[in-house]
Amino acid sequence: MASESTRRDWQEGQEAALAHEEQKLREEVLLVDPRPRSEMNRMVLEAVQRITPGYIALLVVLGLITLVGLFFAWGYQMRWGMGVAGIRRPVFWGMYIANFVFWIGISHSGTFVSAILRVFKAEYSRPITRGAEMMTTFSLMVAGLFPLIHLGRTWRFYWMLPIPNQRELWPNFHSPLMWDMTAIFTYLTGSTLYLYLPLIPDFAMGRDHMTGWRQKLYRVLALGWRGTEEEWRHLMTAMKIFAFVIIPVMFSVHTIVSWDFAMTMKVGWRSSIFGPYFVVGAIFSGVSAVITMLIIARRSLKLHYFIRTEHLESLALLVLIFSFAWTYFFFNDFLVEWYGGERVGHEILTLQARGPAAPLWYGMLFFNILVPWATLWNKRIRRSPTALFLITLGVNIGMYLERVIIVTGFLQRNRMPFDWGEYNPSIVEMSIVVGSFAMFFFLYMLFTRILPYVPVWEVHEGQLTHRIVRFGRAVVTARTNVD
Amino acid sequence: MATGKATVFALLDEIDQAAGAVEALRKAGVPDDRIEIMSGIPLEHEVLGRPEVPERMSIITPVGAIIGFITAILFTFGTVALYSIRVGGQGYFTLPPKLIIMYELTMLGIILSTFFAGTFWQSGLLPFRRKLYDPSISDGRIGIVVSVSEDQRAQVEDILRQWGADIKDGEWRPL
Repeated sequence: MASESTRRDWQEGQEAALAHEEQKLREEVLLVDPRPRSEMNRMVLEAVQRITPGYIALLVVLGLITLVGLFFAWGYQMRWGMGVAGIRRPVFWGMYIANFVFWIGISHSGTFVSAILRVFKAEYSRPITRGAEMMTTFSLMVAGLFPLIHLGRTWRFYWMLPIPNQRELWPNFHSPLMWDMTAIFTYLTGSTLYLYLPLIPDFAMGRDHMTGWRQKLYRVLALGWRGTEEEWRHLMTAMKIFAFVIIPVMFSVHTIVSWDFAMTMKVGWRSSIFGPYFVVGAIFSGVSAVITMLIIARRSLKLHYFIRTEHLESLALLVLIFSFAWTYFFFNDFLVEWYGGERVGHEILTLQARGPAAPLWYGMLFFNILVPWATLWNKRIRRSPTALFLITLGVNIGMYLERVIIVTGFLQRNRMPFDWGEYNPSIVEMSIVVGSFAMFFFLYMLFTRILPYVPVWEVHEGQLTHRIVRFGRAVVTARTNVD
Repeated sequence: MATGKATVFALLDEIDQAAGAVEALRKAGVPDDRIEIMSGIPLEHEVLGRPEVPERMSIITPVGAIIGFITAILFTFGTVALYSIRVGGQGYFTLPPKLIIMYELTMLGIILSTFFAGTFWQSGLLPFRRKLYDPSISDGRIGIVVSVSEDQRAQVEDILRQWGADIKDGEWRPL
């Protein structure tokens, strides 16, 4: 009798412990912490309407910086010519091209976080795909401006278009610059449509629950969506095709950007490893930028229910892995150049290690290798939004420095010593660069109040297929595979 | 005697209820093509025991790819042939650099054909048309529209009510 009572007490204790574990798991994992769909819709629509005086003030400031940088400074350059920029012989590619490469790199965030994780059924990524896809679209828009700015005579851009013109010349499709334009156009088109497709059901949700101008806008953008079997079937098939197509396009874009450099005879640039080196660097900076923006969005949009520590932690692990991969490619590239024994190659490396480019070079190594390796192995740090914010911001500073070194640093030393030089960006260049950053943040902030930031239907679908199960004495999540 | 047509619009809360209602309607002689389901999430056809919706993406996508590829051939080889400028004996109809343009435009063809043909043409999505709908569907409820003859209406409504459905006055609204 006594033993039965003891066993009952023990069982009750076990039950309480398991119930406590279940509760902890629910707080941790979004997909096993369901709430009614109407409540989730409300949370996301409230976030869209969260327009505070602080938000408006920040938007105005960013808009003004964009105006000064991209309209006045660029306009000034158009009026007076490229001489107002700091690019001089031998450094003909300056900050504009470095920024172009940087923003193309950031654009890999959406594709990686959304498409690749969708293809590999990484379920945790459901609530964070939209934020990443928005980054892709807006960073590509910013990146696309830089070749135009760098052209100088921007109004002759149409010479690059495949249309018969008065010169009876067609663009040279053998040129890496033409490959660039074609690849970026394909990627921008693909990523914008890939952002739009899963938004259609969310626009319909907004149309059903909102009033005013937003309802009118959502009504148009929802295309009359009702959620019928035909609509879902075609949407899901289209999203699947897009996810598979956009991945190779993403790889091609940054590989082609790397070929802008690698196809030349320039020492330091001419490297067969540049393609994967650029792609890995792009994903490294892109995923880091997603974490930075998710932390900001989570706080400002009050989306703590949807964007949880589990998401930040999973992405932080990816950052660590890509830091390893980037270091591997960096060291490959560095060692081959160092071992090659070519005089000019050594001059470039000396410039980085002991010359004027040294602060940038050591800064790059600090932010891209030392900081992530020293911190992200630690679970507590991976779960701290403040620490992650600083680390990922640092990674993007490091990756920016890498772009600046590759583009402007290598050009300062050439085969003939008379063709050596220094590069200092002018105030016009710096204004345009600052303006481009402001433009990205302006667009991103603006659209967080126009587009539903979380794909609610994807979260709801995930919650229906996930359960908490007891596996022996452990409490774990389980997924039902219905597709 | 010919009877008029009726449309029954019902809303259910649970997937299991909807699956049961669809099965009961089928047993009552309502063919599958007279039943339309609306939901706030994608439901595989097996979940509700429905026939698979046919789609032609396996044709549309390759067609888009071929159009993109042909466009690339015209740009890369066609323009070189039409406006030839020979420079220093360099390669003229060389394939490797042209492969990049062919690859990108083929991908663009797939992207555009999937989006336009797949989303607009195949799904029949068009704004502002009057459609039978209820906003609670985007809150997670499941809508069932049954098109039957007027004399079957009462029987269909009974079946749906048995499965816990709210029968709505079908509102055709511009969406």
